[in-house]
Amino acid sequence: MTRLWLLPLAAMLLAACVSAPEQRPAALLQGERILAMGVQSFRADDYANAATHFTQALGHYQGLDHQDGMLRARINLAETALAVGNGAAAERHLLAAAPLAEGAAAQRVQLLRSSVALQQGRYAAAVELLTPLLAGAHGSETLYRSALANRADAALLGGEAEAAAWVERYAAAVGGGADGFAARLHRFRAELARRAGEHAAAAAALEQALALYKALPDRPGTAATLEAWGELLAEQQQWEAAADRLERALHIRLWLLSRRHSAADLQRLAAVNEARGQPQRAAAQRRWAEIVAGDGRIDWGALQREVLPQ
Amino acid sequence: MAEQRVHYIHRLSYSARERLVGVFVLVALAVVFGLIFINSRTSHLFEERISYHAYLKNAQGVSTESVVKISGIEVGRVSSIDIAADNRVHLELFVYKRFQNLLRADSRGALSKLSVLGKAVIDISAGSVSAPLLPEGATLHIEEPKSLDELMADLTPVLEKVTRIVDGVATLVEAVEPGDVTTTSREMARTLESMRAISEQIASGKGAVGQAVFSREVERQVGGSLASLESVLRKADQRLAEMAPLLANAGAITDEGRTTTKELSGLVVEAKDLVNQMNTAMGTVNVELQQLPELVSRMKLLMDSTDRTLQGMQRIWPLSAAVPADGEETLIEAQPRND
Repeated sequence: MTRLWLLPLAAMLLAACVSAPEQRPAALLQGERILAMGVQSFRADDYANAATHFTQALGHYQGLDHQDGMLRARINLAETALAVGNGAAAERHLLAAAPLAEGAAAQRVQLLRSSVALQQGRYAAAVELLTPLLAGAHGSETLYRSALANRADAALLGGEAEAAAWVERYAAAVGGGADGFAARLHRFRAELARRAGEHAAAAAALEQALALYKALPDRPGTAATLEAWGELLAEQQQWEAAADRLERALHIRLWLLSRRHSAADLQRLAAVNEARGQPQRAAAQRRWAEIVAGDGRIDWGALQREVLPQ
Repeated sequence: MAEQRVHYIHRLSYSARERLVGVFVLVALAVVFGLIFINSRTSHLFEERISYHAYLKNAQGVSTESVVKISGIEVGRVSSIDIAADNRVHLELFVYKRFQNLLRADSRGALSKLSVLGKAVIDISAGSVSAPLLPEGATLHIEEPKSLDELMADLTPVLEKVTRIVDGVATLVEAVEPGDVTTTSREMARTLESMRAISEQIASGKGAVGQAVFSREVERQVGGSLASLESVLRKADQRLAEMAPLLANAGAITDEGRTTTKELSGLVVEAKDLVNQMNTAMGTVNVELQQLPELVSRMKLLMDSTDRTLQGMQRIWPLSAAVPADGEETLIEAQPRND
């Protein structure tokens, strides 16, 4: 006797057993979708779109008085502002986020505030903000590593004697791997080697960092490595090679639409071009550096045509 | 005590159960997609159809998907397109039998004005009740809208005539010598000067007006003036004689202009018709555009619903194994600075 009739019956029984997936309110799902789109844009280094999505998400969550959503949007906006070197905007979002943050989120806000302090050259303030994050138990491994990276950065930038120790502590936390943290470690080591006058070791470390960043790929990391390499070569008066690295870095910074970093690269390039006897190019680069550092509108196309001839 | 039988589903492993559910879902999906695929083709599957023929010079925008409408109601479609022996485009179209009553001997078809835009609809007017039914296989007369090429072809002779008129006027203007005009005007100025002098003599109050008029001095002046006037008139006469053929030519040009104007008025009427047709077409497009917001809202709902369905499906084997876990993170991961 055929038992085929059991099939539809079994299907009905199974369908009855399957519970409907969890359904959250559409407004919350929409907010999450906007945030997720922003995170995707950020990961693709599309900061303009990321900022647009996060701003939209912030408005959306403010319209719902949803504290957690607002906090996430503010943190993401602060990250985006930092990525393009806009410390003032990052600080504004972090100040607004601080009262909403608790636990891990509060630590994240503190980490970002230390990044802002580092960007603004307030190394002591950065150290003060990082100390509680590095003491005692730490929740998120990524957050702890980032805090250590900032601490090592503060030690190097602030000229602390224990800079090498902080870098080694960071190295111990990072371990092996081939991610952005490992690449950052190579950059720290390159900086230590440069300060010790070991230019070859510094160049080798930068080369390793560059290889890792390019494999990811990580545009800001690549640009930062090229900038460090350009400065290293300039120190050795290898002007042509220095200009090459700095121009490559500038291309990336311009692509990222990062005003602060682009202005810094233009100033570095101007110094290199002056040293290699190209005062007209240097003058143009300084002029553009001033324009980019300002708040006015920038014709990025004209900048590229004038400063970075193809 | 009899052993209690357990439903076989409970003896299956979780993975096997997932697979079973997956199979059912996939079969159900296949059925749904199959139904959607054939739905459009089978919606009138069992309806009886009546075939008709039509011949067109230009079947722009017509395809086998083109809709046939009677009084705005969709009643059939174009079923095939081929080329007739006389090189016209032969359309075979069908109308569902229940609409056959609308097709009468005096029914007239027209290709929609949107055919130029690539979306042709064959619109047939409902025939009068007193007229006999159009038999199956009959040929429908279909009016075709003028194509852009034809409109351009209509305009070309007019443009040529306008060009000829402009050329004639240019010839006329060229025939008048600027030097002659200057001489003539200078002589006329001298004549006027002389006449002014006479007037001054008269106005001077020396003797009676008659004496002044007949005095030798005045006589000489008047004589000179008349001679100058005569010379001017002779030259003017000569110029007029020279211009006579040109004026005759201008007459012909005027006649031609008049004819062209008449043709132009015809064209204006046609252009007006065209504008009206365009307005009708734009009206149709506008109606469709007005439905756009609703369409967008419906699409959004549909997309949301599809999104939820897909999310649910992703949890079921085999998709659960193939599709990576939902990576929609809402917070940027902490990372080292890259300054």
